[in-house]
Amino acid sequence: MEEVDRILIHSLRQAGTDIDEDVQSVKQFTSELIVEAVVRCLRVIDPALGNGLSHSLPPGMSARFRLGMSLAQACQDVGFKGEIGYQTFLYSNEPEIRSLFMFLVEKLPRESAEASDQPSGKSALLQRAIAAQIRAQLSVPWLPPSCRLPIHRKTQSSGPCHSFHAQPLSLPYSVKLSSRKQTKEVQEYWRNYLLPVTSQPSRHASVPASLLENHISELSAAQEWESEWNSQGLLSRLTPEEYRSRKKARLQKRIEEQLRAAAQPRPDAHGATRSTSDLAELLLSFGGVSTGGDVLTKGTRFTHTEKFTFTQEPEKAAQQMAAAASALPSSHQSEEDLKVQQEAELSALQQQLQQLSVQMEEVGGDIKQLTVSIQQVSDELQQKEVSNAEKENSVKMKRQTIDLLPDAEDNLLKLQTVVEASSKRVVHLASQWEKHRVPLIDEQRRLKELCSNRESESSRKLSEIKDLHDKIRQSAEEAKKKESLYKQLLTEYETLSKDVSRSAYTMRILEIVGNIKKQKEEITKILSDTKDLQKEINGLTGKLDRTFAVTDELVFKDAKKDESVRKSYKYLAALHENCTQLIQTIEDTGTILREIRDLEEQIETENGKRTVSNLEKILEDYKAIRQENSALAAKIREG
Amino acid sequence: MELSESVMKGLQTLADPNVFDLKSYTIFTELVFDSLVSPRCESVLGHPELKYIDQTTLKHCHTAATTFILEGVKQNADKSTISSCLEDARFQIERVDLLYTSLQKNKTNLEYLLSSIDTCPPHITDAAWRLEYCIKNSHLHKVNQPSYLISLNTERGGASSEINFSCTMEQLQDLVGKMKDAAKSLERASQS
Amino acid sequence: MLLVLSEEHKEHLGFLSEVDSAVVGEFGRIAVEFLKKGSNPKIFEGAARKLSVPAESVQHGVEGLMYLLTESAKLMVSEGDFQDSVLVLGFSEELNQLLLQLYLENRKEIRQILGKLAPSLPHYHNLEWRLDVQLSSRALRQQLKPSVTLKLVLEDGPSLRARVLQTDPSTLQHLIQELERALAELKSSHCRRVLRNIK
Repeated sequence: MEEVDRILIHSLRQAGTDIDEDVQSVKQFTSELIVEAVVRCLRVIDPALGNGLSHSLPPGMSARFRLGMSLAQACQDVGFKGEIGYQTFLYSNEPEIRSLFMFLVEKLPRESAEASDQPSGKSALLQRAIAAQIRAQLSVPWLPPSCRLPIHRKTQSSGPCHSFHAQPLSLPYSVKLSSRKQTKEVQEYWRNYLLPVTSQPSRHASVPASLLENHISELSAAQEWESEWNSQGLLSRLTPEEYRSRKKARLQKRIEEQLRAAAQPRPDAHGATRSTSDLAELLLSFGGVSTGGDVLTKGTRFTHTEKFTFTQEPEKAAQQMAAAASALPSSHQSEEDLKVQQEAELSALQQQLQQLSVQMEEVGGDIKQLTVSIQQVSDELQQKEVSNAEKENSVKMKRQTIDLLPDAEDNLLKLQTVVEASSKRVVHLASQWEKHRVPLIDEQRRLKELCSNRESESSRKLSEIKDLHDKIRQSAEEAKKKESLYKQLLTEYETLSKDVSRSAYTMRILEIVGNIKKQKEEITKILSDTKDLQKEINGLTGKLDRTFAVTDELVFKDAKKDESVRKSYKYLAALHENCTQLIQTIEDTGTILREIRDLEEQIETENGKRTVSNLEKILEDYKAIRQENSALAAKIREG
Repeated sequence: MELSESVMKGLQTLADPNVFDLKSYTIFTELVFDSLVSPRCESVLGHPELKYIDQTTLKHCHTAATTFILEGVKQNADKSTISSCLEDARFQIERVDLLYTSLQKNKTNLEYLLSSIDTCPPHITDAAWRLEYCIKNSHLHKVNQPSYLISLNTERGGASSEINFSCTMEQLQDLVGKMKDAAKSLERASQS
Repeated sequence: MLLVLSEEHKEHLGFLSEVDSAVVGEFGRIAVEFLKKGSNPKIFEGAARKLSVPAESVQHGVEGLMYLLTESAKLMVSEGDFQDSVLVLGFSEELNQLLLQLYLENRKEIRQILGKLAPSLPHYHNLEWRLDVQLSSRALRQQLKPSVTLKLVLEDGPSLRARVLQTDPSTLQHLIQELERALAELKSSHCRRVLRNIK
């Protein structure tokens, strides 16, 4: 019982009852303590029910009685099956109280009991962290703004406040091309002129934002590509590069179509050849890209002029670049110098630009005129050539017929034979063709079948690959989830105070189970012993009966002849009877002893019920109630 | 912690002992943290010890390392996350530890840097008051009312300003009562 | 303190002695109404038609009353002084009593109306607060930044203006201490002496 009591007391403490350290068993519970414990348990089990009850015994006797009644009612509402009434609480006896507590502790919801003791989970952790943070801030004394230490700067002022301002960064690598494939100029720019990323943004405050944003955009682009590739790219059966280039071509074609559609209303549909409008030029350049794949390789007018200007003055351009680059780091130079220099440079460049644009316009006009005239001339040429060829043909025909005319009959015959021979040859060829055709058709059919087989195979594999991709993603997600859960649990476990009682309990429970097992073994041993004994007794009784019957018969036989034997027969009968009586007496003694033990036990339990003290208490309470009643009556009379 | 392909490549280069020996690695990581924390670090990669490394590679590694560090601080990554990420990029244990200790050293500064990317209403830093007794004004004689002039000093993004208003004693009592409510709720929150 | 009435004012008020005392009571009611809600010249014409007198004299009468009331309320003229001041007008005793009654009944309200005209700074109107804890931002995902967000509503003339501010726990405690000191100052002996002596 001690173990049970200890567990009960521990659980009651967890439910919020204030139990003294020296209370070790249920026997020591006073009425006040019982009432408090029961009410606390009820509050945890059913807050609506428990909150209506006071957890302390009122002084007035009738109020106590009422509280006892309502407590008993509440316990029955919760589902307690045993006998219960106000007397259970006011005039307690140990076994009843113990069974009531055992029932209530069983009913205590596990989580809430734990929660009331040690709230756990993510939100509780957060709550505690917030509380700790606020405590920490409250403990820091306020200081005037001018004498703040770094510790105050973080909490007692808003500190610097920047908005999330990201700037595009120029990075020394490209996602699409490896660095070796980049053009030499780009590589040189990266090596010599590109600033490190942390110096690129105009304000240092936007460095982190720009970097983070850049990273996020790279990540999301990769993700988008991944999902697109998994959903559409794989099914197209192309390599990633091919897929990309095809997509690009498709896009360009659509843009081109749109632009063409927009340009259509113009009256001169020959815009492309005459290339007067910018739109047509744009279209042309698009055409170049879609076929060639690279703007720079195909010669559009723009790139031509660009190349022209750049090849014309390569050294100059290089000089300017160098000058610009040298101007960049040397920002410490005096502003004036820089300004003057820059202005001079600017004007020079502007002049050059103007000159160049004038030149360009001139040349462009020339080119336009020339292309138009070339077009016209080449058109004419083509027409002339076509007509020329036609004329030559007709001349040939005519010459042949003229050659054949003199010997008409002969030639006619010859012609007929020729025609016949050729028709024969045609038939022959047809039969031959037929011969060749059949195996070829067969071959084709076979190949077609093979092809379709392969196709189905590959689509099956594709779907498998897709499934695999999905599975991979799912598993990765699951793994991530589990990892985070593991981390959370780990932190929770760390924060959890190492509850020793739990392991102690399990130990004790195991011990108890072991004890019970041992006891059970002993009981079975005793039982089997008893059974053996019973068997032996039965055997002996049987043996006795049989021996007696045999002896009785023998002696009876002889008794007819011999007097002394008759006497001994009489003795035998008397002995048998006496022995039977003796056995009977022994058995009776056994039952009486058992009864005695039963009675003793009953006395023990009756004693446990504290009947005497309870009776005394009841008497006292009865007196108290009478007094209260008389006092009330007196009051009424007075009133 | 998810990293983009380019950042991963940069980190892999940084981990390569053929590109960065241990000494230049140490110097480089210090420079990376400096470039993030200090407002203007003109010649981030001009350190004499790093002269022998290709500038393009150096810049790429710098970008990758700064991005990695900022992401780590942003997500408050713990040691296991950071080391698993770096080990994925083939970092040796020694280098991981070096980077992690520098990160711990600079963490408060970096967190301060990231937490400053934020918007918030003006922060009250101090209050001043003046008690006045109004005797008469142009429209009313014998007013004889005490009144308070309250001035709240506020700060926003380093710039400070003032909010001035007047109130009667009852209104000031109301104001203080409400502030006390707030303080009480703070105290309650600190106990849960 | 006696009110000094100008000759023109006396002339305007003189119209009141020519009409019935019930009409004067009505005029008084209209004058107080006008002070509260602004004047409405249509009423003058209606009243003039009823009394068959020029609308102008009705207007002068009512406006004279309004001026008399505001001046005496502004100076917080005592009961006796008011009676003495009105004596100059030479009205009947009944009319004087009527005016006195009107003055005493509406003095408080008129002073309130006049008080609103006084030049004033933005005035405290209301304070709302909220306890916030910033947990995460775009650039920093895990943080704990407790703060108290305050919405201070100030009354500036006819309009209300709300200012949203925030502060930290220890500054909030400091603010409370400081403002409580301000409140305690009013109960100090120095302040009480000043309040007692300037009356």
